[in-house]
Amino acid sequence: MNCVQCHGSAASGSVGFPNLADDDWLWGGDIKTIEATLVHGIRQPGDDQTRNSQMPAFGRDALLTPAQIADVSAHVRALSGKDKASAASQRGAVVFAEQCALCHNADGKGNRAMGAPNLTDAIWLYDGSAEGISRQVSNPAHGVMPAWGSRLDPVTIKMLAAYVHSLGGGEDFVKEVAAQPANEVNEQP
Amino acid sequence: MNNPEKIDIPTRPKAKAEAGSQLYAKREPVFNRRIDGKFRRLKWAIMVATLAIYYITPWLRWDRGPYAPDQAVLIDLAHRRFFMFGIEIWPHEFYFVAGLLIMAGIGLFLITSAVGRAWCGYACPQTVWTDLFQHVDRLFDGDRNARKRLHDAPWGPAKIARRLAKWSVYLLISAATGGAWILYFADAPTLLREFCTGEAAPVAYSTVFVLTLTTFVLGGFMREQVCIYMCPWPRIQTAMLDEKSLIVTYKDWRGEPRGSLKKAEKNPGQFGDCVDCGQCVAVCPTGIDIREGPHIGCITCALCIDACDKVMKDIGRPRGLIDYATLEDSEREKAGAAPTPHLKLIWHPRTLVYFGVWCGIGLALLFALGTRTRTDLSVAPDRNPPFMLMSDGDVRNSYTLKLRNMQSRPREMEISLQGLNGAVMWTDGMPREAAARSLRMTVAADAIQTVRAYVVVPSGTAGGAFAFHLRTLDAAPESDTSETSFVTPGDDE
Repeated sequence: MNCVQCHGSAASGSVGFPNLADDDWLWGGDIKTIEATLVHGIRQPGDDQTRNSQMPAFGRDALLTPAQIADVSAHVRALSGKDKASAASQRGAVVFAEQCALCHNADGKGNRAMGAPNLTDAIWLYDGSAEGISRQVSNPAHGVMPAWGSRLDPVTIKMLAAYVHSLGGGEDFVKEVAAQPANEVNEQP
Repeated sequence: MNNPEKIDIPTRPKAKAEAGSQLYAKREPVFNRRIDGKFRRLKWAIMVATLAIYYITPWLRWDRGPYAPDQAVLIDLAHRRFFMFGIEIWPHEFYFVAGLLIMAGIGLFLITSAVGRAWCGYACPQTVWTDLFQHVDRLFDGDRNARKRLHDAPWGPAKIARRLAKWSVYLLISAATGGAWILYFADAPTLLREFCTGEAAPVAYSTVFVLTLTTFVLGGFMREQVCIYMCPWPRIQTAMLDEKSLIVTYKDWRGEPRGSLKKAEKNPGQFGDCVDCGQCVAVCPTGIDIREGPHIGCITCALCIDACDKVMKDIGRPRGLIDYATLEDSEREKAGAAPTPHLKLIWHPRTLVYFGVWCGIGLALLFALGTRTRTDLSVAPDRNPPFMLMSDGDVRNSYTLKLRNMQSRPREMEISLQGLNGAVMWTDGMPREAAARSLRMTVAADAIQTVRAYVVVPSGTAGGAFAFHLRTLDAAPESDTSETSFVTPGDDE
């Protein structure tokens, strides 16, 4: 009721809204981190613990030339194995190391502390085509999520965190989860 | 009979005439006389047996280990289990119960085509409880004539006291009947204790109340009216009887014309064997006169045979003026042939066919019971989303598995993938790193365990049909396979 509008009925997300069932996490996929993300939201003004980060608008603010942006896009495509390395991508790699590696890491694997996506995997929050990547570099879109801590009670948030964690991509299983699914015989409340 | 009581034969024809075109005849009270004989003794035996089965069964214990109830026969509606001694039936196995009901139905056909309305006469609960209540009548009010006198007497303190005493015994029997019924649906000792201390569920009290009331009214007061007006079975049976079915028959060719012993002595050769003593009517629990011929009210309890045999013995005439006979055999006998022994009459093609069908269903059920497995696996693939792309490009499908353990002990089970090369799986309770081709888990006793399984194949693998395979890892290996399919993005990219 609260989440499906953006994340979809099967939590599989859509463009700009992360898929919660896969194993790619922007901010971290262990149960505590998921809970913290839920409580404080993403880019919520007024919550000083909210997930916050901002990618520079390299094209709009003229930090890079259109040619450089195209080169970086080619490099990112090569990083994720979508295109073979080319002259453009090699030029892009230089730009990447100067401009992007601070957040996305030198190897392009991203940084969860800043919510910087892993650029080497097969999952794209936004469009993964060369044009799409260029667009995101030029004029980045940033997703937001409400700080559910002010709307839902803590128990509900913990349940949500456990649910999202169980969707198949959960990380950092501390122990063998003891809560075996309810047996049919015990289903009466 | 040396000193026959004077018998009033009910005047049913007159009552019918008064009723005119009405289909309902006002109940004429039946005061059936006590009788002893081989059919009465059979009736006693069946009554004791059926009542014993009914009252004792819930108290029988049957050890099923620590995870299941120890009541031998238990219909556990709350948990949807049906226990019958060594057999446990789950809701999806309800066809066993349906099979038993079909067998009961065909069994009734078999009995009816062989020996007529034997069910009505001996084993029907309405008959058994009516019989019981009539014995209570006899105990409190005496035999036929005393009861009739009391019935006709004006109401006074003595009659009221007697009636109240009798009705309280009726009520006691009724309460025991209603009370025993609920014991089949819960642990009998616990339920009885809760029932007496007022802690049982409201439905227990209402069930007992309703069944007490119905027993009290149907057994204590309506009696044969239930058979004549309410029960559909006499009609069905009427349609099933044929000229080869044994029914209680008054052999009119031998009995008529009726005449008392004195008349017969005066005019030898003019009268039949029937001395018109009316004993057959006096003992009838439904108050009919069998000499009028086959009758919807006749439940073939054969007490009139006992009564008539006794009279015939006393006056030195051969027994069997009223006897079980088939219409076909009656014709033969009328023509002068000797009666065919009953055992020979029972076996004719129709009864053999019923018997064959009945046995066939029984054997099929036994076979199914012997070969059924006590584990089961069902698989439902997630349809939304049909597949999921992993960060390393692998493709994942999700499935909901239901592992059913129908034994009353926890069982170690292994699920494995069949087909789909390169695929591994993990569940929602473990990290992907632990993924494997087969997983082990313990399924609780007598339970269904739901498992979310994530199956992943390397990028580029073709999807398609594969199967989950379940096998138990204990001394009694059982297995089940459930086919499903794997969806990959191959088609739309």
